Amino acid sequence: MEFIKNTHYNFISKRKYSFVLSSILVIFGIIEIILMIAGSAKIGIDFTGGLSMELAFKHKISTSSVRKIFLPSGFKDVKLVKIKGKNDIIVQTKAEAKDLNAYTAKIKRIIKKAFRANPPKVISSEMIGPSVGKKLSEDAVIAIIISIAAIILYITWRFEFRFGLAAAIGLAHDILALLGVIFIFQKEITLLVITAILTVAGYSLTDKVVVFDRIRENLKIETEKARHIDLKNLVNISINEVLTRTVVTSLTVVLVVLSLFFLGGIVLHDFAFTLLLGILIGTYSSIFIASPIMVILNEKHYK
Amino acid sequence: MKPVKTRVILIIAFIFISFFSIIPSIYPGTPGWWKAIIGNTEMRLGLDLQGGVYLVEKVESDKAVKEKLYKDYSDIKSFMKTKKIGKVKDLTFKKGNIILSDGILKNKTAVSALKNYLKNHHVSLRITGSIINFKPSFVSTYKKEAVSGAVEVMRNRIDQFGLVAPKIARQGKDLIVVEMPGVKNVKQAIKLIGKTARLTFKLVDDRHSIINALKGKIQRGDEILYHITYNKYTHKTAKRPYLIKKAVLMSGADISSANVQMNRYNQPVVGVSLNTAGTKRFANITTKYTGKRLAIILDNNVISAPVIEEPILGGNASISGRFTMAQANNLAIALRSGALPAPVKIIQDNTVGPTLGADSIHDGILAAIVGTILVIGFMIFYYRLSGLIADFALLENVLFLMAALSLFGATLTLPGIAGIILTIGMSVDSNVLIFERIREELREGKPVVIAIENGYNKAFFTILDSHVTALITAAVLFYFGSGPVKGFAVTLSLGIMINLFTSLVGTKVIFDIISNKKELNKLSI
Repeated sequence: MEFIKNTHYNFISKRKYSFVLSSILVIFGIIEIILMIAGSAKIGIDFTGGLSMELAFKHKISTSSVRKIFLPSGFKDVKLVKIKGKNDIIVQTKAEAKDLNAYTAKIKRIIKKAFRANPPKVISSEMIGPSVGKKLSEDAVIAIIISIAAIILYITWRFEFRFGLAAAIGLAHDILALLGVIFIFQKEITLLVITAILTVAGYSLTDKVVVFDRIRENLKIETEKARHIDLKNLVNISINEVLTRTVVTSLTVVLVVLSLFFLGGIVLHDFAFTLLLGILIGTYSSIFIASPIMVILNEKHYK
Repeated sequence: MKPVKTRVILIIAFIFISFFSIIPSIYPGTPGWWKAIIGNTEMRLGLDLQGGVYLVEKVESDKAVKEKLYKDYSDIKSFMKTKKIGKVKDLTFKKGNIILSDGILKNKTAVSALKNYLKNHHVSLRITGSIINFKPSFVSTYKKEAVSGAVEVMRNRIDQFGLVAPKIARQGKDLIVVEMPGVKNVKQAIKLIGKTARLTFKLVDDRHSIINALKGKIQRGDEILYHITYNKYTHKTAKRPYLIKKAVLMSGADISSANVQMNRYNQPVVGVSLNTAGTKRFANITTKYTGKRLAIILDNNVISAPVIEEPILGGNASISGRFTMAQANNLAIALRSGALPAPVKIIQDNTVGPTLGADSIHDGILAAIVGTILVIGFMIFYYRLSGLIADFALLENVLFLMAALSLFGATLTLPGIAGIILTIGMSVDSNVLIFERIREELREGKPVVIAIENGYNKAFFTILDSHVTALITAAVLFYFGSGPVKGFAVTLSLGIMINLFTSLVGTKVIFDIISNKKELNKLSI
């Protein structure tokens, strides 16, 4: 069974389109980062601090009826999630550390008063201090910067500097573009989403290495045969040669991520969503971003 | 013929070891000897999956500093008394400061004697104007030490109670976060770790009347503390008052170890060994106050107030107080874990319900199974028999990963489960690379055996490079990440490393076995 056979697509010539598309995504990604720093992005309570309460109602309940209760109460940022197949609702709201205890008590009071006929039980109440999240996001940023540096070093050692640089730019692109998509879909940045982004960083690299590896190999063959090397052409041939690999490897991961997306439960839903898009972006950028950038870097070097 | 024996034995051994290591994690009834062989490690469920108690405690380091100052104040006071410098009123303790009276400040010899004494005995103190207080640098280090000391004490105390996989971490300047998975009851948890168990040794004031003190005429520098006993038959608590001198003579920090012993009447007592500083201090106290009563106070409760019968110089003492065995045991634990260097206040106590966790595990497992079936099906569909071989490697991969996590005693969190599921998707990738190489070779018309050989050889460096780059990010993630991110990084790195083995060795050996058995003219790929 083979999906793709002897393709001869000219990927490098399409770089203008892909660069425009990527620039847009990256700009959105930068906006998301600026919003995150400014504190106005959609950030989960594990970063801002806040409380999360799971309420088990005795009878059927809808989120809208709970939302109605909260509207006049002065709680602005209440997020309600209904657990499938149960009469449970998770109430989340952002709060400063000093208000946490008071807020928890107030929410309990409001709910109890409003649902006398359908009394809920508080199954869990979680309060998260903002400092946990702050440290985490700092850690994540440091981790990304250091891994980019380490990867440039490793690929430079194993390949050449231009490969390392192109892989690093590709990686930075993937992370920013993914943040851009998160911005467009207005997804909440949570701990799990950050984890997903970091995973994508690792995964998209393996993808790029596969393409670069073939370019390296073809370069070697061509040099040995002392042929005139047209790098654009060579990169194109290389991408086409490993196209099945790129597609199939991504496909197998997409298969599991899709099952995670549809069956993994509400908690993992956004995680799977981020992973899914990240893998698609990573695969796309191996072909349309990292490889053309390698060609451009080369042109600057030798011409 | 290619030698396959060693590799087959290796793989079978790994599979056997893996099953052996996983069993204790999934079957609670595993016999003890079994668990002991693998070092009593098993996978544990994190707070997000299992539910439990989450506490945030604030270390009141300001109070610790104030108390230390009060201790030093008592020292200076007794120094002045023995050297006959000034009068009692010349040195007072007010609002966290030691204050010198105007009278004594005019007396130059007295001031220089004081300065000299501070220089030799209390380097951390300095005189500014009429105020004696700590140098700022000392205050900040002392506070820092108080917090890290409190973290240690908490860890100690929680460990003593034998909870499963608790987590104690310092957060920010003066907060301690305690996670206790599996503990369902916050109140019980707080009772377990002790709210503010602080141990001090103070002198009982026998010179003044306790009756007058109870009427409200408390001597300056004294306080009333109670010895509380609980009668388990009548369910009543009895309170017995003591008039105690406020000055802290010794604290839990002076104790190096404590354990339950039996005295000659076969009653449980708590034997205490003191550290070097404690031994010296205790020798001084017992020499100076022979015949008086020394109150042992835990959390403002007088535990016992034995009479100092003779100077104790050796650094060993025993506390008797008509304890029951359980009481003696608890006291020993409290002493052993060291009294907290500073009071600790609980500012957040949460219960994390396991309901969401149970759902998450259930959904996660379902997603994993469906995902695995999809990948297995796809590989067979796309690579036929060779796909089946890759599927074998995939199952091997999951098995080894679970075993490694069990052996590491990893705490399984939700991101961790996601990491395992992701490994399933990625584990066949290396084989995809190899198979595509083999197909290329076959297309060039090479014989099957050579095509397989070349396929593995040529794909080797691609796989190595891609795995190493992925491993670099995982390693950085592990090094800089904290909490759940760290757990995820562990799962991911283990998955990557195991995958190198299963894809390069695990599948190759099967191809070799097949090609050894019969001449391969065609390959189902």
